[in-house]
Amino acid sequence: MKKLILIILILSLVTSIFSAPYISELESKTFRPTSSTFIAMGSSGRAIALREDSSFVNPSAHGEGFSLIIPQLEISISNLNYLVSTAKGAINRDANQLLDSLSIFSGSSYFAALQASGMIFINGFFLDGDARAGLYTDGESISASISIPIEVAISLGYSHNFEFENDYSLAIGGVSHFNYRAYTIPVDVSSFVDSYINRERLIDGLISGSNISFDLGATFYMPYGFSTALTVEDLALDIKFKDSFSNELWNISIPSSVCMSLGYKNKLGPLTIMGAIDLVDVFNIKNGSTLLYHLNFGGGVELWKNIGLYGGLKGGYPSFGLKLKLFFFECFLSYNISETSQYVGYNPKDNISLMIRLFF
Amino acid sequence: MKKLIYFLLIIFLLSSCELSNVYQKLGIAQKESLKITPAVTKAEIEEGKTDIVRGMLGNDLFIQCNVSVPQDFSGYILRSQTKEELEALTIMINAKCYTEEEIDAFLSEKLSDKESILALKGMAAILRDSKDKIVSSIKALLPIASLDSELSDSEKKLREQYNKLVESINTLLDEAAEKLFNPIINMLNSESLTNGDLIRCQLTVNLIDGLISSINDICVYVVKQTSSISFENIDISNITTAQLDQMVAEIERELEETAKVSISVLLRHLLSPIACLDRITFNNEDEVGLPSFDTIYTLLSEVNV
Repeated sequence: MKKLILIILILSLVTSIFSAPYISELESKTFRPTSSTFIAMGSSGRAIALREDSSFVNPSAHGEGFSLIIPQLEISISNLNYLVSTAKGAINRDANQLLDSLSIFSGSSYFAALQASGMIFINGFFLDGDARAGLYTDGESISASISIPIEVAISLGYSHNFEFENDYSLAIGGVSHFNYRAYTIPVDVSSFVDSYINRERLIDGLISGSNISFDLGATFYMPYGFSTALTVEDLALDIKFKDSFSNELWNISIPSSVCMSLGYKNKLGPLTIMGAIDLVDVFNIKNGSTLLYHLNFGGGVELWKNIGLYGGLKGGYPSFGLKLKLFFFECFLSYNISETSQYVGYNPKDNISLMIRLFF
Repeated sequence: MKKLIYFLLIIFLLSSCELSNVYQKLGIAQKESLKITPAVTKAEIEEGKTDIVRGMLGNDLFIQCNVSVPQDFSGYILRSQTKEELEALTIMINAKCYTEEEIDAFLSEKLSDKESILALKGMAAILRDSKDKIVSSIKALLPIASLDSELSDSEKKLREQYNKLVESINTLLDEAAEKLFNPIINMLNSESLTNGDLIRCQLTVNLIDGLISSINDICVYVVKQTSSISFENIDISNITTAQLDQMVAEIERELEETAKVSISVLLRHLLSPIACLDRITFNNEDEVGLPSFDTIYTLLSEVNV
């Protein structure tokens, strides 16, 4: 069957009459940097969200008091599976394994990225700044293109906690984001590599856009460590884009989503046990068969909050994480798989990230 | 209970290694169903008209080839796929979640869409009646430059390379006529047609379109007498796009005055994918450095969908 794909590859490369307007996947997604713990738990845990997830997971999560997280750096690389397969193919001179190299640059995802952020929390208010840059592959098939995006989000939020009797409490919060992104006009992968090798101009133009968006969240805390949460994400104004090369202007609307979560987090001696089930994008569940793809769940165990082990499933794709914390220093290694195609199972990509930060 | 936990853990780890979805692996969530959106179009062509494949190719290139229809045709045929359609097909067949068995079962599945069946039969009828004309017309688009004893060595080399390429394309077309067209023509006698038949036919239409489009753009006339371009030290199977561009620019600069030759299109659209294929299959044994077409022959003949 790979041979058939090769034929299609030839055809797609050979034919010269094809042309279509290009819309980057980068335009239709907002920059939502979430914590490594959240990712390692299968992108679940809105009901037990950590402080650092106030901006993009649950704005009611951060509570009272003061804390400072600065600086936080994260480096991530995708497509490990394909890279290994390609290397094996090159060593063994195996055509089928080498075919996998074609998949490295397919799918709408970061091939490699560097992320930096800083947060400050003071008595219910918080300010968060995040930035990410990297190499982004765009498009689902082998004819993918590549660009260099820079994404910035500045968030300002507030939450309030209402205490009730018998360990019940309700936290509500909201956060506003100013989002900015700019990316180089995507170019064909082979042209990009050649331009780089030959030290030719890589950037023909820049597309940039900005908007303001809001998230809302409410968390109901119950006795024995149970909690439940409801969040509304990406209540957003259209992103206004501009192409610096052609001066063309256009707007892209961002769909909002509603998520529900049920969580458990409790201390048992030196251990902290946690688990959560999240139902994401609730109003886009079309029928019973796709319900599972909207279901994220995960769990974790921490020892004195210094060592943590986490795992989860995001829409059926596994994720793992390992945390090490010493005084003010914390590092987190996480591995996760996510779908980069419009259909689940078509083009999953793996991603490994290393995050380091100082935590006060 | 322990067994269930072990089982789930194994599935969890396997899914991580294979990049597969746990729910799909456990069979508790449905995969997107395999389907083809056929590029069907309706055509009415009178006998003797030269727009035999206008509908099929979506452009007028074939009119220049003067391929006339031997008899009236009215009905559905396949047209060349758009980029989106072609990509959708590539993505579906390349999707990680389907096993070889699932793909094979899908390809063996009987076609139920009436328009697709009619389009296949229509296409088969056209190819049956016009196969030789189509092939000879494509060949006629490829003028073979004759060798001139007065030419310098570098010029001779260039022409030799080009002539060899043209010969290869001619051979490819002869092979294609037999290996690609005949199975489709045989569909006329088939009682039931499958998704695989539809894909085979669709690919053939796309291939013809690709060849015609590329060759039409070449328009080679006479190589300039003073040309000093040489392919002698270039391994075209490992050429980069930048090198290709540079080479093409040099060739075009050399040839600009006497003929508006666009070898770039030839190189880009015919050599590059073949070179790409050769890189994948490590078939770099051609003596003169040009990529061999053997890979394509093999692939075309082995696509028994």
